Amino acid sequence: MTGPFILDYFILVFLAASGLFQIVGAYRGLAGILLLRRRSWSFLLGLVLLVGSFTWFFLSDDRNVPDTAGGLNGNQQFAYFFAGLAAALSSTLAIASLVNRRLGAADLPPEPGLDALKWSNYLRALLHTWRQVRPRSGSSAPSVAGCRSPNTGE
Amino acid sequence: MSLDAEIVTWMNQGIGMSYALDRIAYLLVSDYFLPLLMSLWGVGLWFHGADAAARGANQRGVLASAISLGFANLAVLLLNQHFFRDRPFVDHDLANLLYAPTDSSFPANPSAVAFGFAMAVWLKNRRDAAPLLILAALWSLARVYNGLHYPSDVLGGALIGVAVACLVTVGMRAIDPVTVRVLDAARRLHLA
Repeated sequence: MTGPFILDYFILVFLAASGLFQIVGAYRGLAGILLLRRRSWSFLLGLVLLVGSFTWFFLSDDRNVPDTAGGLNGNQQFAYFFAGLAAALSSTLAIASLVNRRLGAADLPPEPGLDALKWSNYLRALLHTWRQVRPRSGSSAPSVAGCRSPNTGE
Repeated sequence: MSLDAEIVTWMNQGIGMSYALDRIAYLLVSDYFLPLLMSLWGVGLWFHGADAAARGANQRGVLASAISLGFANLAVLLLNQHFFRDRPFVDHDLANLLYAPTDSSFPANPSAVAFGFAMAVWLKNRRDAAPLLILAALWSLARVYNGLHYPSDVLGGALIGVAVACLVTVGMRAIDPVTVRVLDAARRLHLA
């Protein structure tokens, strides 16, 4: 029972979290994490994933299983929740970056944090940040790619 | 019979009267349903906020709630080393839709972790913490309804959770530079 239950729980968290990211992304206008072009469709996809995963998990079998009989104790729930969440986040960001590969191709507004995902896909935003902070060869000072430096006149 | 036992016995009479109600109670009392809903609400809050400042406050609340959850669990574990109280279904003839736990009834661990989690968010964002407090109350109520805890167990657990959340929030103010660094690192990765 342990193996399948853990796998089922992981799949539940993965699907529910993936759905949640679509709902939050659509609601907050984070185009860079949406899997579908239209916000309303992404919202609907998220809702289907969230409700569907819960319905599947709790209606497919008896899920009130104690940790002594193959269920999960509190610490295990915490660990598998984060594993499922991390898997959902990384796959959402990777797939959404492919789907929205043109997003942010123009000059990227220098938005920090999550706000960058309103105008850019995740990989492009990450690349932009990396270019900003990496030290240039032959110089110890960090440079900002694409920005003119007032001191050097670049 | 004590008032505690009378309340449990009275509430527990509802089990078996309606199939639909039993299914709902089965879901609410589960170790997996409401905790997962609450955790997902917390994840949603991490991304939610009208602007960066509001989102930052939510993220601090979510960090505090995750830490509170751990400390509330630890507090119950420590108390269980000194106090043991039999479950209501052991001492009374009660129906139970869950399995039969063997650990101490007092304090109720689900109430401690749920209210610890909800309260830590409430201290940062009252409006968005309201659903969490409702879910925590529902979970606690379901545990009493199913004869798994006495009302005083649930009350004790909730008080522990609230106290831990307040202490963690105050503690996090003392180590604010660490929180700032964590959130700043997440922002650099466009994850906060």
